[in-house]
Amino acid sequence: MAPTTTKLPVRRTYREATDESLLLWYREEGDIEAFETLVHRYEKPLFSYLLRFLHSVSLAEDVFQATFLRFHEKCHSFTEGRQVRPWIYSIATNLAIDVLRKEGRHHKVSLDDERLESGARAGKLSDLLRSSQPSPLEQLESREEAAWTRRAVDALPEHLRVIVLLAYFQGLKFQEVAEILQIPLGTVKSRLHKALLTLHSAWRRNHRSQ
Amino acid sequence: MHEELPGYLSAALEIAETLFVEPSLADSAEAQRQLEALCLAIAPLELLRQEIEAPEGLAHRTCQRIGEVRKARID
Repeated sequence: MAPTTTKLPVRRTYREATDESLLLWYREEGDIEAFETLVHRYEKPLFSYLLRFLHSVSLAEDVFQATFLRFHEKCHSFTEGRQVRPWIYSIATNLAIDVLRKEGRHHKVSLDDERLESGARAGKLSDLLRSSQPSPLEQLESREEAAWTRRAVDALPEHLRVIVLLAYFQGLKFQEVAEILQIPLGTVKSRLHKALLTLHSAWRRNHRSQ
Repeated sequence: MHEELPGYLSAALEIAETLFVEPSLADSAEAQRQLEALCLAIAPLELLRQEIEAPEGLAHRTCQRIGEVRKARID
């Protein structure tokens, strides 16, 4: 690693450390455990995002790995004072868009979508056995509703869909979404507004036709 | 103002923005209708909000792959 005058954050346990501290320890000191902590920290949320984006477990896994490879290669150019989370999502989003373009598809539904819907199901068997859980009929309805909602989100134009994925499914702040997509905050708000009204219209049409 | 409503619903607005939205909302029937529509759109999204389990060992395989890249560059 190149010599630097960066002031490193005070050492804490890896688990307690912020993403930004982990990045600096890795970049400035070659601390591999710091890097590995970050990869493990993002395993579930980033994979969830990529699977929703790409609808393929193998593509989501490839892009996850490519994201951290890019992170490793580019961390020297990361500007202090920025936040790591939007940067990681930004790398992942750009790579996922490239993959979709190379695959020549928008967001095709695949067998892996089963995994997406299973995320919305009632949960583990032990949860089902608890008396407070919904009845099998309610669970079925909830599953159908979840499947319908997922299709409605997938039917959104890509520039609206990605905002719904980031703001609602990943729970990112609007400012972070703006940073990830490199668009003004006002554009994030207006696109989200438009996406939700589009979903509402689809929801109304669907419920009217039933 | 309508574009602030998704943020208002998810409590993502700054205090100043909320102070701007609330009186406008109280005065506008159209804004109230939109707020209701947005509520209905957001509710089903909650069904899908759970995180999905990653394939077993994904983080480990990723670290291993990058470790190999790192080692290849040193060699």
